[in-house]
Amino acid sequence: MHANGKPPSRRTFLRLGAALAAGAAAPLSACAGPDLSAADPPSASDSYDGPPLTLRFWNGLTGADGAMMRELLREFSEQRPNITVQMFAMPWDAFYRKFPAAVASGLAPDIGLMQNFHVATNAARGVIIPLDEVADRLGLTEAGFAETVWRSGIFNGRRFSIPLDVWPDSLFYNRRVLAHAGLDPDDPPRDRVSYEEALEALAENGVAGHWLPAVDPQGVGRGFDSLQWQMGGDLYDADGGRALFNGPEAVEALTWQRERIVTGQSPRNVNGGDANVAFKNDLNAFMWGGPGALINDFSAVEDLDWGVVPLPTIGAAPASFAGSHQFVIMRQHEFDAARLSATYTFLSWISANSVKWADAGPVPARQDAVDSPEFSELPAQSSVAQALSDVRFYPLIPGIFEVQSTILYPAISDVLLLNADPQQALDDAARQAESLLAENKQKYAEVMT
Amino acid sequence: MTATRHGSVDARHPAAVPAGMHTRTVRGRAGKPLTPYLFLAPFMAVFGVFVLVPAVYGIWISLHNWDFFLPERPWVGLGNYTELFDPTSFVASEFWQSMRATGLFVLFSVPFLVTIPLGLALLLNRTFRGRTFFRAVYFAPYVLGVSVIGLLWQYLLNANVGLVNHYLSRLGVDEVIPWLTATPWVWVSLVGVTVWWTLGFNTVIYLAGLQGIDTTLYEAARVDGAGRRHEFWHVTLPSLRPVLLFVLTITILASANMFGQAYMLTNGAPNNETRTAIMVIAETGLEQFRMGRAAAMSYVLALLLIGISTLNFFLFRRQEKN
Repeated sequence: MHANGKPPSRRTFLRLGAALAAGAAAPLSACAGPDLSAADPPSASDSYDGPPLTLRFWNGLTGADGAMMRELLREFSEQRPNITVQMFAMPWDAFYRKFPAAVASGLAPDIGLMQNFHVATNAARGVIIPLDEVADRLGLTEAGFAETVWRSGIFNGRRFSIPLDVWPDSLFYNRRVLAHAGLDPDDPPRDRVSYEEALEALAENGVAGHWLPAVDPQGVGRGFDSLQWQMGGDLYDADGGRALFNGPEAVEALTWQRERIVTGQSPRNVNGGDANVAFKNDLNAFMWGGPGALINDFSAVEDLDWGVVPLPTIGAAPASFAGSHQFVIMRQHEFDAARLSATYTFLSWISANSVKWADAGPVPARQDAVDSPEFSELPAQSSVAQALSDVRFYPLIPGIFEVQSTILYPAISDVLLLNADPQQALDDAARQAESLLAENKQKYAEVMT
Repeated sequence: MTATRHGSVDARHPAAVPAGMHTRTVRGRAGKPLTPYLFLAPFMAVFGVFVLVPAVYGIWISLHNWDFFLPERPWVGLGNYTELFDPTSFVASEFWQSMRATGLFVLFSVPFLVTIPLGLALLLNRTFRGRTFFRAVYFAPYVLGVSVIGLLWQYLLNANVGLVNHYLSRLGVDEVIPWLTATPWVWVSLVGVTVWWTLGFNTVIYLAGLQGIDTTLYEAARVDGAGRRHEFWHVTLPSLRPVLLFVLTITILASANMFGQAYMLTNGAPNNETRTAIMVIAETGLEQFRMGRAAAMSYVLALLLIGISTLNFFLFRRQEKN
């Protein structure tokens, strides 16, 4: 209370409030960045036999794939009753936002599953730990995997993730629509000439054969990515300092896509969801998309007659954009040997049983799973797997996904909405990407050296 | 505001006036001097922890190149701010494009959100059968979350497979209208959906205001021979002035903070033209974790909004004096 009995004046009170606020903020700001010194987990076996414990596993499997993963976890717990894996699924973008914060605040889950193009970013952030020794311990080597997939887990000379699967964009075709236009439903087009001829035949029958999304929250540019690789282009230079997606190959790729819309082989203003709805209602013949999302989606539609093959080769050589789900181990403030041991046990089991995951749609990353008789019983997945040798991934550059999603994709969308010229849009995007790439390089420089 | 409260105290205790400032205050607050602050304390605690401290902390963050997860957070001084005003920088062009989108949305949506609910409130303030039902009907959409209305209208407004275009084609509109992918349709959609969604809230506030108007004023006006229009202009509107100021201010602030509708419906299409400032700030800070830059953007936006709100208050106050 004030000495002279007067109440504190409003000004005094405000000053007091400001001082308190500043005082409360000070310790927050004083806390330094998180400790990112080399994580040194204790060595642990990959066969946990201690008392029961529960591992926490975060991922973005919110669709039918999530149910499939829970089924696998249940099976695992049956065989290993002392380990329960508790799964939290949230939309991928929420997952990438939340888990680094969980790591920083010491509430990290034990295991995560992430898309390959986010691994480098999170490795550079130091929120996941190197797994070279773990891979050795589990007996996983390059020989056991498709090369591109295996190498996609290596960043800055160290392995940060264990690949579970791979999902190359593929050509889904509606057999009934093809047959109706007089095309052979068992022989979908596989090269540029036959693909364009098929689209013309469909157009003559009044069907826009290839609904090409101009807007797509799932990533409107994946078709473009595949095409420019097919034409011999590349998105970025080797060290991620420069964007190359305004080269002649990329412009040709985007021009080809644009032509589909201009010539009426695709309607205008298509949203990713429209193409899907049209496909399911026999109004669309071809869809380019990932097996993880589409195989289960289409299988669930009664009376839909569809098939899938690798993407047609529109350019000089086959190439398909692909992604891969990969297991990572989150950095903990303090590692617990028992939990790590249980984690390794789980990774070892699920990797060995990854053929069961193929039911969810993607192709297993392990070669022995792809070669197994169980896998060959899945016709759609087996067909998709033919593209494995031609899959292309985004380069392993920290922050690469934000360059794709915030700069390149909007530019492609603008062209496919027929608002911009391909060369001009890609030039602008490349210039903008340059500044973001340079900034990322500087931002992650310290961790990368 | 404290001054007016003192004034009313004075009015009730005219004897206290000549006694001077000191006595007046003590009598007015009879008893322990800290009491009012103790009453304020629960609110101040919440306000301090969730608003004041983060706001001050935000200034500190905005002066650094701040990434939550990187060990180095170098001090950059006003660098994040000057970058926003550097016409050659990519960040500045993105930010100001989003500010433009935000400004356009405010410009297009606020007039509708202020006038339509007023008209609606006038109608719903009359006595007729089913009045309560209609009051509930117009308020109903406001109960829905933004993700619900976003998803709903995304289906309805879809250019190729949406219900709206389907019915339009039945009515003979052959052109496929790109509601969510081309200007100016994106603005029509965003403003239309927002008006449909939130008009109930402003209507309820207007209704409360209308019911607070002294009916004797209307009687007096009628005695003086005023018609309906005169009643509206000379009784209803002036009496609603404080309510109007409130509605206008919160509507501008709400529209300037628009995020969900654009995020769900257009996701910035075409070519980021409908990407609002909050979307850019969220993307910069919470997806790319460039917190320092995002904090600086937030402060620029906040200062602008504070400026607009202040201007708002002054305009209304000047009118009041007139």
